Amino acid sequence: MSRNQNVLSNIDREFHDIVSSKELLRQAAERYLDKIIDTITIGIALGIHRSKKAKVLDSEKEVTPKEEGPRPCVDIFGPYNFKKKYECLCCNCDRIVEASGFAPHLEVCMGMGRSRSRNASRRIANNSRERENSTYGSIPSDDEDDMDWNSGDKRKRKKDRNGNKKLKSTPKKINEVDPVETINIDVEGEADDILNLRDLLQDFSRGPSPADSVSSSGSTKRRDKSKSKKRKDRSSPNSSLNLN
Amino acid sequence: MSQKYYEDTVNSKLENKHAVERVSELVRVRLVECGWRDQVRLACRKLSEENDGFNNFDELIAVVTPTARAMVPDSVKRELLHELELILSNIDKLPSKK
Repeated sequence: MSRNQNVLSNIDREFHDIVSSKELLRQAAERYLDKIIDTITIGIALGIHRSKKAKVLDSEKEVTPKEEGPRPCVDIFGPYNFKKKYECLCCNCDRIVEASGFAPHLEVCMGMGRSRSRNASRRIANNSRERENSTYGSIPSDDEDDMDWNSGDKRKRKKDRNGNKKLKSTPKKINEVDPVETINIDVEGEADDILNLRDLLQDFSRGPSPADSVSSSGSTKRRDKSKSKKRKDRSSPNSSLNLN
Repeated sequence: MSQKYYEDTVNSKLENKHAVERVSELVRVRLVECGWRDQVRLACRKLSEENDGFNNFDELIAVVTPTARAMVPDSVKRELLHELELILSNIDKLPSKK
């Protein structure tokens, strides 16, 4: 601390000597001003040297602003009438699409859209009907898998043919009856959604109409009551047997 | 006392009183107002284009600084010197902290 104090006191003394003499003061002021000017010059030269190295110098030659007629409407975020087009390349169909509409394009292009799924399900239903009608049972199949598929489809055939006759079905066929119930109550039909869709499509293709739907709903309601009664009846003999 | 010694003394005294930034800002503003900075910029660009950008930055500085000093208008220089002398005399009059 003593050294610093000595240095500071020396500086103060010398400074006082400089200021007290006019000539010394002038010389000191002049040299100090030249020093400040040099530092500012170095800063300017450094900026120009850097820009020259970065090849940006040519753009800075236009100092005067150009007035080219009416200026576009400008917001704090930039010109708000200006639409920036961001284009994307679709990997599926190799088309250039705008970014704003890229997601819906992909949806359609890759087959995820609503209309396509409906069309696909209709095609499946139509194809299955055609197969059933044409040559389904006649062709002998060598593979076991094909046999399994055939048996499964036969069951479905029975469903389609029987339609309204589902009430008379055996206890095993309760699951098959469920798709009809799900129209009104959706508690028990969660496992057979695909079957439900197919049945619905087939029902509508036969001749859908609001009157028919209302009548069918009414009939299904009646069917529900009858089914519930029949279920109770079925359960009662078993219970009687168990008791005995 | 040598001339270089004057600069150091003045600089150290101004640093003690935290007046270096104020003085340099004052000088910079005056030089910008009189257009000296733009003239120096143009001169730097011309020199760099003529000499193909200068291989060293030091060469550019060695050429630019004397021309920049000469470009300062006399009236502006006189005013700045006068103001600087007033500032230094006022600093000398301030009580020193012991």
